[in-house]
Amino acid sequence: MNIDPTTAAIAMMIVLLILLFLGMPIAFSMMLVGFMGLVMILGIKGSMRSLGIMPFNALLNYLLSVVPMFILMGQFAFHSGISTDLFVVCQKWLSWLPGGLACATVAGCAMFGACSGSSLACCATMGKIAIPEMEKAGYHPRLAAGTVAGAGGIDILIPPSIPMVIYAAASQESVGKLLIAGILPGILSAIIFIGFIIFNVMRHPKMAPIRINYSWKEKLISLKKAGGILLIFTIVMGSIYMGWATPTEAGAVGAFSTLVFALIRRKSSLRDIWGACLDTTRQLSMIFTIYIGTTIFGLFIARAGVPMKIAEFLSSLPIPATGILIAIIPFYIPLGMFLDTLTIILLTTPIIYPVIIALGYNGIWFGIILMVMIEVALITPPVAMNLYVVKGVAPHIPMEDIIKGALPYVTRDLLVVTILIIFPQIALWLPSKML
Amino acid sequence: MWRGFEKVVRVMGNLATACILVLMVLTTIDVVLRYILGMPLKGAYEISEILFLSAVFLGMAYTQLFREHVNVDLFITRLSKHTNLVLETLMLLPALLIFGLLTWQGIIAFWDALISGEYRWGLIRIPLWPARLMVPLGASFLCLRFIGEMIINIQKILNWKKGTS
Repeated sequence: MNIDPTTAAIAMMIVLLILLFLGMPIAFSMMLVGFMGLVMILGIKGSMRSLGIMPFNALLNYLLSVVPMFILMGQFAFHSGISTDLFVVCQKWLSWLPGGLACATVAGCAMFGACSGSSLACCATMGKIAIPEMEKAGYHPRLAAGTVAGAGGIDILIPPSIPMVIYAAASQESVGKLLIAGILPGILSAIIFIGFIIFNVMRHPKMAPIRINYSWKEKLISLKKAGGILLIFTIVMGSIYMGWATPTEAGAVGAFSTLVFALIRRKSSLRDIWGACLDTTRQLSMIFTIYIGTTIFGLFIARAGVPMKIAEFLSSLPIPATGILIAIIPFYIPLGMFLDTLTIILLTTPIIYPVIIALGYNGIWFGIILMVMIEVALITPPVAMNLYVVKGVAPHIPMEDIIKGALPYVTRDLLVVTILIIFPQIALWLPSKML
Repeated sequence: MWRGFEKVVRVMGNLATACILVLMVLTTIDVVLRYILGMPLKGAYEISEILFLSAVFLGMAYTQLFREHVNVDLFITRLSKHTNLVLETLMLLPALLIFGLLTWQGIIAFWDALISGEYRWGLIRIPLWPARLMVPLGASFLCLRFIGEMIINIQKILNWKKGTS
């Protein structure tokens, strides 16, 4: 068959969109459409061979085995009940601020992020504890629910982070450097979020009527509770930073020690913990079936020469690189409204990453910006997982309030992106010190 | 019969989970041995890769059992329950097609690996055919699961038609 590759690529993208909207699972539709596209440009024999080999080759990659370790770590942390402790610590330290409990929620999310790789776990666990506490203190439900949904995204920036590993796999950037690069931008986001909460509550004090000041003694004693998780975080990230262990090794030790931690604390039965492991398997299979799908689809798109053409076109434009970058980033907002986060990363990276590199930007730095845009995707409806998770743990709060409470975080995330564009060092300084 | 099949899929899910836990424990032991005793486990790296791959493929049908292969439900949730069921059943066909092809090609790749004695070269030689087998194994069970869902859906649709006429 002689079909012009560009025509084939456009046709297949349309077919993909149709299948997606008809409700066919993302992974299956990408595999099918990618395969059909390959048949068009390589012929049936070559594409059949690729189909037999590619899923295997794509997954036989040591780098990827860090993902199940990070999922396990988050699951075990969730079942250890550590989030209650983290929230209590933050509550003791931050309650004196205007909107103190909301500030404590943001800080708690950032700290929980240090042992979990997915924002959904963070929203679920922090939502369960923080929303009732804030409601008891008379906080507006919009502030309570919005903070959890908006701040849950910080989990993606603070390592361990599953979306970051997926980006690393799709772009061939170093997993270790990416993970370390997320730390400072994660802390920056938390500070910005807390700043906005204080500012808004000072303007509308009715949103959060109660402020409590705990004594220094209480503050210091509470710190003991966060010790375990901080120790695990330091071991895991420290060994990646110092180059002592591969991310998979650090993740495995982290998951194992979190398991031991959860077993000692006895907050969950063995049955629940096995359930958490089965959950891990399903998440893992879901993620990597999509990964296989995008590998096949990505091969087709690459063979059709699409990324090269887009990169050539964009770099031939008489616009400075920053202009092109600023034009690319907003595209992630509509994508985030309709697509699942991992699909966004896997679908766009093969196309956008070569462009970013051709423009002379740093791939790690762009990865961090992409992660912040993924945070936006998690709170922009109709497809906005964080909002649904919050609705799940606080069913009595109307969806409208959750959405209205979370939407201001879009602007706050975009502010973080702007700061990262102006000061790339925030993302790049820590990894530059790595061995 | 489908009950029995479901049980097999659940066993596969549990096996996949076991792979992940073994991966965790094996890697932890490897790290401890290397830093404390200065003697790494031979082949831990290669075995990790194979365990990971096995977990993904063994878990595929199990994930489908829980309907956790994500899709975009923005449009379909607006349809009536019945239209939705018909559409869902139709969408299983292309999925069956691609995973059927994958099973077929996976068997060929597995057979080639078995005949040629394909190895992964690391500190120790690890034969690759068991890992190659995971591809058609996972894909074929996913296909069977699709067929099972289709049969159940078609029965539902037929019952519903009888009910209305």
